[in-house]
Amino acid sequence: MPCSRTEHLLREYFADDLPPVMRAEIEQHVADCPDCAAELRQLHGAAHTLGQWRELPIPRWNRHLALFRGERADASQGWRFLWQWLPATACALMFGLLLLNTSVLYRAGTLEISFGNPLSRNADDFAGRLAEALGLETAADPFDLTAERIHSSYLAGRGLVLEVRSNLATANRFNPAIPDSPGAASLQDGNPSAMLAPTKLRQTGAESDLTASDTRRPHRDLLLRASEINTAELVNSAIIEAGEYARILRDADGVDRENFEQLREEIETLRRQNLAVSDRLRDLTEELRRSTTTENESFQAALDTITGEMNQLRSQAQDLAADLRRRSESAQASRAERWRNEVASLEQRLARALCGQGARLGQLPERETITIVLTGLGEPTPARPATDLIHTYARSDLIQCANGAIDPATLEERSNPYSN
Amino acid sequence: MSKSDEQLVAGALAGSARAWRQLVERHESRIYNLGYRLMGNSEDAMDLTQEVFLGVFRSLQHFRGEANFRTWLFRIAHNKAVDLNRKKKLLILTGGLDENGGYDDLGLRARPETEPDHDLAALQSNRQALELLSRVPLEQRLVVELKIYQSLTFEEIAQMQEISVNTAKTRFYAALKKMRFAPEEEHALLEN
Repeated sequence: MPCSRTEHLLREYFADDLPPVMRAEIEQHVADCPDCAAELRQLHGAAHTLGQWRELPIPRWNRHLALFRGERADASQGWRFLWQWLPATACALMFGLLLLNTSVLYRAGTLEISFGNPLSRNADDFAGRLAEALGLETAADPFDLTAERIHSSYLAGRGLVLEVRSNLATANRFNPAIPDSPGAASLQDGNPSAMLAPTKLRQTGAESDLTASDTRRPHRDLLLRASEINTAELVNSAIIEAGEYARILRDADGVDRENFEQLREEIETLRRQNLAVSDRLRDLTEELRRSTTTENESFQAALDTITGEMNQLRSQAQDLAADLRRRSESAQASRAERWRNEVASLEQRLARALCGQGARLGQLPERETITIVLTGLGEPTPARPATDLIHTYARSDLIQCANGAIDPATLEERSNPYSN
Repeated sequence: MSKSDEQLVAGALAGSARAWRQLVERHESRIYNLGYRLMGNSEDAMDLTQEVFLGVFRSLQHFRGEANFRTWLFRIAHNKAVDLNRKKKLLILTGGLDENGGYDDLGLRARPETEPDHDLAALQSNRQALELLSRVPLEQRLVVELKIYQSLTFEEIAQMQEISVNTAKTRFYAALKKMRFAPEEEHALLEN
């Protein structure tokens, strides 16, 4: 069996500031533990192989010297001599303009100067317009990771890739999963419905088999019956399930706040009743054990009452759990359906927006494409609950759509969406 | 006596192309090799090198000398490697690259017979190192790079990656675990 300390000890073994005492302790342990010794040897082997790297010579390159000379060289010269460098400065400026892909446009009475690769620039502009057309709630703060946004990348030779992050991706569409079997539901720490969890039942003293001394008691048969009728645990399980399904139902928008509160009350009442009746059964069992009389009619009647109440509670709790299970499954299916419709609507709006804005991508080389990655909006699989939905649009299709030669639905169809 | 990095930065900021050239020449090989190990091929290593020094050039005036120039350079290299890796992932997604993203394309297969023996030995050891590095994701590869090849402390690595020191240690240990040889490989290596 592998040593349970291996991971912790060897992780610390490579620390920079390992105290000598701890190093000695680790080394002592490694000396005594064949598992850790083997693991450490292998880790050292890997580190040794990595350490055998031989430096490769760098190919010749320009070291950005032209850029440097164009932008910085002779920056220290005094202003008095600046005129001497006017022609060189003009050349450097022109070079800088070319290098930075600066464009100067006179449009509608204003002078516009912009920098950067025109395609990348257009891509950012395009992404902004698309976000607006899709009605995404973008944030001014670029580090606000929760905001909806479109991130654009231009990959030379491949085309434009737009990653769309929509709030739909975080919509709780398929979770939590419906438990597979009765009793499978369990409440997690921090669960907002933790108040629905039943209190752990106190020992009733009747749930276990009769003890040897019980078999000699005068109410042996009643004690035996008391040990058999106890359904408190079954009711308890059904209450747990009912609580879990109520939470699923609420999360899937299958119940409003007021009705959820009513459900909570109903479950809480069942829990209290279950606790009370199991307490009464425990008290009765104790009384039966202590009793020395042979008269048992009153005990019999009390046990009958408790049995009736327990059976009723069990059927109430199990019916409620079954009903909530049906409702939560149906609510989840509806929610998933609504989510799919919303994704489909987003895709349609996307196709329409692309038709409207597509002409702006006229500068894109003919064979390049526009890939739209709808983050987290793909069909989930059992292995991957969150996948991306990917559309790839041909530039020619976008232009055709912009010209009205094809409609947005056809454009969407031609984008061959798939989940990945 | 050669000038310190900080003196060269000051010279470059004052407009000395010579200082800039010296600064680049001093570090380019380190960055190129770092890029080779992180990206797995010479083309991406060169792209990364150019991107890193372009980044240095663009933010030279922000280098205040509070941090060591090398650490500052690694931070830029780290960020550029993450960016480049992200672009490669998108290229894979759009079908522009195969699944391994060009990793481990040493260009050795076409050349071994033309290389002198010592170069072959170097290429062989580099290939083994690349094979190990290719087993782990970039985030772990970066920790290994900074720890083993650049001798940074876990604290420096943690700051660079904006993670806790414990996470940095865990990534390093997890990477080494994935890179360790299976017993049969170990045996084969010994035989070779």
